Amino acid sequence: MRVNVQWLRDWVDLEMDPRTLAHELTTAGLEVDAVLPVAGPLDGVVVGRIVELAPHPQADRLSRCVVDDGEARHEVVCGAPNAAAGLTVPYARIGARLPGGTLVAAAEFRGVVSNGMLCSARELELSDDASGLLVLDAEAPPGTPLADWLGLDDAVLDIDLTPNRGDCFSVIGIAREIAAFGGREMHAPSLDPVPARIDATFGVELDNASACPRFAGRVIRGLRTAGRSPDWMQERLRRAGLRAIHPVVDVTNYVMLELGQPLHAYRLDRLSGRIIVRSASAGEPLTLLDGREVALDEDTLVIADESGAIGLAGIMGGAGTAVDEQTQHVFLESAFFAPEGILGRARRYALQTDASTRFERGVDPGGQERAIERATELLVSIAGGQAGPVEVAESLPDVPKPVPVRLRHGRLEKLLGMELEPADVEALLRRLEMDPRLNGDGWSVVPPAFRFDIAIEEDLVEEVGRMVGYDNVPVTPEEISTRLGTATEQHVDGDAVQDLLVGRGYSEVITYSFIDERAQRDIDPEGVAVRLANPIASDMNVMRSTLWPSLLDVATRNMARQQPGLRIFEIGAQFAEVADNIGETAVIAGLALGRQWPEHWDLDGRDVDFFDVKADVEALLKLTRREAQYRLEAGQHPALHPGQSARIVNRDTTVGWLGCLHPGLQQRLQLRKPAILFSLELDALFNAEVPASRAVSKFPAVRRDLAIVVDEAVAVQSLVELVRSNAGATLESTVVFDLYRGEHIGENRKSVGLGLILRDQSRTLTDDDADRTVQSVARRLEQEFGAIIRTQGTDTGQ
Amino acid sequence: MVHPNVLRNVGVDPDLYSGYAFGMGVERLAMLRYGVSDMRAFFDNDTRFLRQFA
Repeated sequence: MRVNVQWLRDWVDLEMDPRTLAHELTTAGLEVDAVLPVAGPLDGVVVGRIVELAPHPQADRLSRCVVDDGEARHEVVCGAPNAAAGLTVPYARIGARLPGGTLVAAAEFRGVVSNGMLCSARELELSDDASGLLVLDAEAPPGTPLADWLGLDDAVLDIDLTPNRGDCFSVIGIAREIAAFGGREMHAPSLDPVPARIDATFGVELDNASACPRFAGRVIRGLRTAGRSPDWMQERLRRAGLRAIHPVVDVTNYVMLELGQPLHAYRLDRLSGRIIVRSASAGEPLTLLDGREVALDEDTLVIADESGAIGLAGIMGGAGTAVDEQTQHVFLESAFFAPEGILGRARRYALQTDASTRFERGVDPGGQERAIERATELLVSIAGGQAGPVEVAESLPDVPKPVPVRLRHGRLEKLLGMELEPADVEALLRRLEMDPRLNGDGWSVVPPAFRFDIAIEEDLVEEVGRMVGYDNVPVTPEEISTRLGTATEQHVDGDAVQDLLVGRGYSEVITYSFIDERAQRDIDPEGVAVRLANPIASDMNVMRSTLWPSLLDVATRNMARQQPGLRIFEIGAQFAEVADNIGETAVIAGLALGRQWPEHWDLDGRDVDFFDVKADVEALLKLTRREAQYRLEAGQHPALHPGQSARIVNRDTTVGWLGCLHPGLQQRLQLRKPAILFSLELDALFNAEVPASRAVSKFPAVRRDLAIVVDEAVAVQSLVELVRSNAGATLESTVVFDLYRGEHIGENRKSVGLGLILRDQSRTLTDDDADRTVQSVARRLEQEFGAIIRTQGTDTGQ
Repeated sequence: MVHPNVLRNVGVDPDLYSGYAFGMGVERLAMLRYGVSDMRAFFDNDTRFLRQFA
């Protein structure tokens, strides 16, 4: 809801500036999204009157205008199609600066010098209407600065109303809040009834009184046609985001904005018989104002005359009875439609209108006469005409009546957490036009008829709370008792996982659990997608079964921003259909791509590879101190490069994957470099072993190196494992010190250098001890893997 | 205030307990603390932004 401050000032004393007002409204529960100026600076732009107009001698589309700016007459060249002698328009003097930055200077147009410029609304950035000159009221005095004439020293508040506050969809509603919150006076502009000058009426019959219990109608005859609404009204409509159309429509819009009561005007000569407010018959046709033809449902309330439906009640009028510039006689409708009768219908016909928004939330059931009187007063003053009497059709038992709500004083203090004097509570409620009556230990409170949101005690507590100001609720430090938890060393903290990866150059990302099914299928073609019943967007239609699509999306976008490399990880959930339930697994997933190191003179410029990320994953696993339990086994994953992928196995269970993105996917995602991905179930990480200490030997170590040749298919890890299980108790550790592939070794063969470090707890090992161990290991390697022993060496230098 | 029916539906006695609902996301606090002007930055995952915090 957009409301301008000047308009509010008609209704309530407002001494403060718009920003302070915005803050106050936000504190009161009406969130102000923005405070907007109503126009840019317009120095040097004044009201001007075209006193003479002649065609330009050299150009068909231009005219020479003589403009009176109150001080002198100026010759101005103008190309607007609506330029005419006698028109009052904005005139930018020489030296004026327009909001767009244009400096107005004397300029020659095909031999005629233009001393200044006549402006359209768009040139002044008042609206985007560039169809012609902005036409001002004929009585606007030439020379008046335009900003003064249009009252541009104003601001618009853009208020984000909560759905329960339908009563605030109006200037009067916001003004009421301002008055109540600041204890200020309301001063309504004159709303005197306009006496009937003629006795014309038009009959109204309420056929569905529960949906429409009140209907005020009035005939106005003899309106001047081809008029326009005055500048002040056009400006207020513009500031509320509406366009001026012609006086009848403008007035109904104006009154709706001001009083919150939507009105409708019918062309009287197109109405036949009488108005009947009834439910539509199934399939009943209606052509709407916007030209659309709809077939109505039976639960839709319509305004009909004897010829059939002529409007969708509370939503939109029909085309057949719509007023136009030639309309002289109108029938005004100011009705109360019950929210239940309107709710959901506008959406069903895809017609959210200003009227339906208000009726759905509830308009003041007592405000129909006031609105119709206000509209009559404005319309007659703008377009003349003679009004008939206001006729109200109503079904009193169906008009909603305020229901008293109980408020207990003790409950109020308990819920707000503060003490409140009963007299203060009553005063605050009265400021909100509520009627508190003492009742036992509290009050029975009758809310005003325009409030549709006060139904239970908590609603009243909220009202008192916001009137007191949530800022004024005392802050009381609470005393609480805590019990120390049982954090153990076996528990790996989530922070430790995050810190470790951040320390290794990763950034943590947060992405959505909802992803595009196509992206999911690329990565996890065999998975059964958990589809959402009501996705918020078509590219967020499944729950992800893996975090990789999200990470790849982040990577693509970052690489598009010229990042030389990135390492990211996310801790999140992945989802799967399990029986008829949805399984959720917490995982940590990561992606590395591009440069391994930042550019540096002493570092090579290589890209990150499988083994860099493998080291990161191993560092994660090391947090558990059970890293020996984990193995990386070559495995095939549809999203990973067939030669560079491994499953992470804990004993016999796969707990994750590590690998290079499949080249086909890399191409499809248009990633210039291969992405290395990993994913690991978090449960696998969070469970650590308590370190078990062993005595440190005082005796020296002996190292024996073995160079062996094996088939390419033999994983180095299995060699190391075999050494570990066969070298006996003196083996302290094994290192892989060399890896070599070359011609004289043979195709599909590799040479692996293994260093065995041997040490005993109780004595210095002899060469014989060491040789025996190495020989037995070498024999096992030959038997198990067909290894060829190239060399056996001794290295005692370490 | 939390509607008592919401509490009742999750088995909490609204006569004993009450609730307030405030729109105070962790992002809003972080925006104030770190001078972030656009909340979408937290979910955009631009590493130039993320690296300012780690």
